[in-house]
Amino acid sequence: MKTKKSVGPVLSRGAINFLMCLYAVLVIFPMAWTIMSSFKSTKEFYANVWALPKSLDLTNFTNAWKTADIGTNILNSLIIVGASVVLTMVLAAMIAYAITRFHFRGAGLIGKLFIVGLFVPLVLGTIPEFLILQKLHLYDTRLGLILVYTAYSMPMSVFIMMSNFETLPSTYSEAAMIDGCNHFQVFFKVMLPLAKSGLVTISIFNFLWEWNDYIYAMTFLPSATKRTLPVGLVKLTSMAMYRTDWGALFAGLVIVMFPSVVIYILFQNQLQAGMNSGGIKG
Amino acid sequence: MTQVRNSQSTDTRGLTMRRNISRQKKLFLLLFIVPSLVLYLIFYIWPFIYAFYISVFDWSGYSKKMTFCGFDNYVKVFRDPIVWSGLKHNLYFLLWSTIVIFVLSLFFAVCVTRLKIKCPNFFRIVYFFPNTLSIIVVGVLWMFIYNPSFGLLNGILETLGLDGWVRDWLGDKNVVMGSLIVPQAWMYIGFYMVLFISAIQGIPEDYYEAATLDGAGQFRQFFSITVPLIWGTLRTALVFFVVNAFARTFALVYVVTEGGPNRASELMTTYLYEQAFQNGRFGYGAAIGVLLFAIVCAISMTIYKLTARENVEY
Repeated sequence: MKTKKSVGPVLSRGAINFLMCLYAVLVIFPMAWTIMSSFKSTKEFYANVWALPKSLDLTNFTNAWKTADIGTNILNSLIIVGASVVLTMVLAAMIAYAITRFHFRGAGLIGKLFIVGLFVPLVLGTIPEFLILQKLHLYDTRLGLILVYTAYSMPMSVFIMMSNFETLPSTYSEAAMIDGCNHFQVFFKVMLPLAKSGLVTISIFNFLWEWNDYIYAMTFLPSATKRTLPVGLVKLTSMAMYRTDWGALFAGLVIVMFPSVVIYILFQNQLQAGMNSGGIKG
Repeated sequence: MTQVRNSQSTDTRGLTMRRNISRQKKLFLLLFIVPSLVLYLIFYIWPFIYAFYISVFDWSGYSKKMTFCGFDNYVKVFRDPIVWSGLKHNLYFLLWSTIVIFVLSLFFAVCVTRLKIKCPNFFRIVYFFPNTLSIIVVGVLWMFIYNPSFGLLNGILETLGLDGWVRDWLGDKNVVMGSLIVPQAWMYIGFYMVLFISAIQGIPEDYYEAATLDGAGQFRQFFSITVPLIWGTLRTALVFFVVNAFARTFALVYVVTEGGPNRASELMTTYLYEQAFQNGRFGYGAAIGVLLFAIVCAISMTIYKLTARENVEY
């Protein structure tokens, strides 16, 4: 009985439950407070930072939208992140398939080259990447940032897709070959649909980090008209601080937060499964 | 005669067919490998090699003029006190965020999987939330929490009657480093917890049942079953964390304090960025980067060696 009631000499079951709930509050409270504050006017905010908003007033959202050109930022983010997520999906799936399914010379080496990329500290890369983009006339272009995001997503994506293709039985592709399919048809009609779970996993991972990225977007794509949402949000932050318009600032935060949290909640099972199968395991 | 010719022609037909197949296979492999590989080499691998090259030039990056200066940049880097204080801050960050994040995430992962708490899935999902947020959102959020005049933290401390603890959390050079570790931990605990949950769930239940029958308590089970059996995951996660920690800390500090107040939270990475992109000293920035690269590699290799254990098969 004793082992069922307590988990050790120090922590009782009640204490564990309390600690878990406490940390959940620490996670949720700042986020909830942001959402709450996004509906309050600056006057309301100063009157009591803890109080609930008087009404669900959307003025802050329209202000944020107008002053900081959030609409353009969202459009830029959607184009860049969308293009890069799709491009990564295609490229990572193709190369992962080729190196796991065809035993040509150098296949192992190429696979290792991508895995090594997982363990390279990225800090060194910013300066040379900037200069390379300038040389290729891709600096401050949306295409440049799309290519950078895609290249930076490759190690993890190729790694996950490789472990995905390795688990698929070869009988399907053999059967399709006998039916007269060529390699291209086998890949697009048979193997790719079978690797759907891997494709979904890498797309969520890549969407989350690219949608949230600030440093690369700021460094490689600084023009006002091409800004992505996080870069636009920093602009909005400095404007809001200058005018002490906290409402618009919180509204901006909510606009950035919302899509990634929703995507996460919708796909969290998939994400968990992805971390089980590929992820980073020893 | 006819028979021979017939068999010959089928033979050549078979051969050309096979040749076609192998040509098609070559074309297929070429199309599937080359684009990804080229993109990866140009935008991921080449920058690392290029950085070493840039670091031996006195170069603003904005002009065409590149003067070779040998190891001048490195000599300057070694004599620059801000580089060394930056490194000290980087290591402080690395040490404390590793301890806080790994201890808490492992503790929570064990609670969710082994200790039969209520609604484990709720905690698993909620704890991951901060990891889905942009560094900008996390940064601005914690600037409000730490704000000296209307911040939430000081508000809570005053409500609890702990007025003596109230301070300017990001403006006081003695506490700013500690203040910056908390958002970092807040952001990543959930990620590593989810990772460890997956690993712990892969351990066969019989081991725990046998241990319970033998009278082993939860602590004993944790150290004798859970830790040894997820050691591979722990180790990879640790190396992965160390490798990425410098870039992540950079983003947070850049957004929240920009290295201030008065360089009290300046990192090697924020200083590198300032030198290159604000002062236009690309060669010098690259030299700082190369030094940092060497340090990160040394630390992660050491950890990898030190944590080597025999793999436990199960």
